[in-house]
Amino acid sequence: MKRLALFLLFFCFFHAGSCEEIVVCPDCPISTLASAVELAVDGDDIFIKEGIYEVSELVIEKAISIHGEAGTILDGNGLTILYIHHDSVSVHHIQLQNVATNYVEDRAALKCNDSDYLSIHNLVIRHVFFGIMIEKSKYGLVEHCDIQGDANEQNYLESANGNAIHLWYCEEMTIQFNTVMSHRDGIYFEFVKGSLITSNHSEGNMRYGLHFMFSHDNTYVRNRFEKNGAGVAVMYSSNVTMIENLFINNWGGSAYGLLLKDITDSELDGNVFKNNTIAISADNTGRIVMHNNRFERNGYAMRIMGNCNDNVITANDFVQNSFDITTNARTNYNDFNGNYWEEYTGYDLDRDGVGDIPFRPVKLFTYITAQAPAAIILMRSTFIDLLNLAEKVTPVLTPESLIDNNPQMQPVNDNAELSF
Amino acid sequence: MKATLNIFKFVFIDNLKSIWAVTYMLFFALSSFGLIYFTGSFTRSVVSLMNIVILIVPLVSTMMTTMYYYNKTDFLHLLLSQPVKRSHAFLGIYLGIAVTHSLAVLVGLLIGIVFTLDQTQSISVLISLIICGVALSLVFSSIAFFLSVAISDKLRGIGMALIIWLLMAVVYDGLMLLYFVVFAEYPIEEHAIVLSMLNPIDMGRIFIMLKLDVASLMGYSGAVFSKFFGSTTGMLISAATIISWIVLPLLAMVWKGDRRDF
Repeated sequence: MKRLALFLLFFCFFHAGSCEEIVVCPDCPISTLASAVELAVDGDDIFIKEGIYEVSELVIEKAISIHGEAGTILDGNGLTILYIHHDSVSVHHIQLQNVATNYVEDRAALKCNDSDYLSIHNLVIRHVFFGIMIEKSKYGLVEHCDIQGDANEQNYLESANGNAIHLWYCEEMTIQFNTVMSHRDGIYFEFVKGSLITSNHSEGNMRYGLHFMFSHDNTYVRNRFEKNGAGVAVMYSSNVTMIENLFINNWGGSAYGLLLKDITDSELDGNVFKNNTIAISADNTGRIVMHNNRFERNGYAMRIMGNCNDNVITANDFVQNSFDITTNARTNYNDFNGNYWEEYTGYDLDRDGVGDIPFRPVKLFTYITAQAPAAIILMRSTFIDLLNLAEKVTPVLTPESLIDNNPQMQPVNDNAELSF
Repeated sequence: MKATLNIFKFVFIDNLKSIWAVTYMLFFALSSFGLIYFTGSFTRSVVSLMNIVILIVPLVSTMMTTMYYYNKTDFLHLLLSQPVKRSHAFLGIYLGIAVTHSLAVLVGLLIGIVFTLDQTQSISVLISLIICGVALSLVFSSIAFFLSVAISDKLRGIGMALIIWLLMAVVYDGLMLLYFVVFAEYPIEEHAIVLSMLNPIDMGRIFIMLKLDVASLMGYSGAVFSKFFGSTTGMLISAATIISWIVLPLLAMVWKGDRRDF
């Protein structure tokens, strides 16, 4: 009986599908990936055994799956390695390397065009110009890829480095569990809709850890953006949802944890901003709800420009920031309510957890430094403290309506130790 | 020189015996311990401590130096009638007072810090706080001592010392701010550095602030400041200015003391 079961199992294994596995190895009858792809028909599975294979500009126009094992390396010799131009292609468990910088065309380890239902996973990509570049595709999946570029202190030209994961005109994509490092942008989206980006780790990219433009209805969950040249920039998009992301250690003259430019109707929930020069810089953004975020030890927790309106900032924790809120306007059309401000010095007589006197998070000094940057050298001086106090009592220069009427006495959130 | 040492010893012990030096030390011990232990947030307590150090230390040093001098004029007159060089006598008294003050600050802060070591996030900030406190004690004792020697009337002397403290602690920053706002269109970062180095209280504040608020200093101006104060040259120049703030009033005091008719 047991034998029969085993037999049946093997029978199913080999004959269940009509697909065939083509094995490629240096000593096999089929020794190059190109000839294997030529032999394959839709639904076939190409298995590349351990070894280094030189593959340049190989066009794949069949619905096949290409995978390798530990030690399978495709070397581009400076050119684009795989060029996918068909639906339902799968590439996984392979190392791709050596794609040179080119100023005429965008060379990538994996370049996909018009390929729906892509499945790209468990790739290791090293020394490339662009990592994974996907254009005009839908319903694709990119996961567990480890992409590391060559951008460093010596090689710092933005134009000499490409993006790790680059999506253009895509829809309904899933990007998850990837590690992207030392490229120009970690993850770059342009005209991408309805996609889900979760649990990625973007570190040490020279420009932005995550950069998207004109990309609506996307969701970003539990990603970690660390030490990127200018943090994360999101521009000209609406319906963006960012939940429980971690923005840390983005330091530098123009570094932001999160730069919001022309963003509307979006939600920021439960994110942690730690040790950034400017945690959130909001420019011309509207109808954003920011709640339950934590701002800790940033230079400026939030810089909110005068052209932002109808944003709701509620139930956030502002802890140990040099400046909590800074703005360049004397009016305010945003709603700050029920946040915890560590700087708050009011009292709570009725013990309901809400401070009895309102809190004004904008200090006169932030206004002064915006006008006269050199004045930053007077920070924490007694004279400045006196000025701030006077301004707090009777606001003249700072926006009178930028006020939290329900400042919390205790931190609101328990995401202080969020880490992944 | 032996006379200086003897006078120093006498003044030092005399100071230690007075209740004020001990109170002063206890004040620092209690406030540093209390702030770090009860505030909960390390940065916030360091900021409060810094405010105490850069406000209270200059004020108390100035007041206690002038008071001591004016209360001991009889002793000074007796001392000057002895075969001791005037400059030696004055230096001895100065050292006696200044060392007491710096020791009080040093020991007081150390006690507070040692008892809260488990809450400390950055020991280097606390060390700079102590350095700042000790340097400010030396500087303001020196300035106050010069004023006391130069002005014979007790009331005028104490008043003058208070005015100097107010100028340096508050008014000077206001004038600086005015200058920055008026000339905001110009690249005045270097001016800002020079101006702030002319005031020992500002130097102390910047010294600590650079360790606390580096992120917000990352703008262009901030980059210029942190680059200067972070460099070895900047450090050396800062140290030199602080030392000259101690030595110059002392030289003036010796010069004045040699010429004054007591």
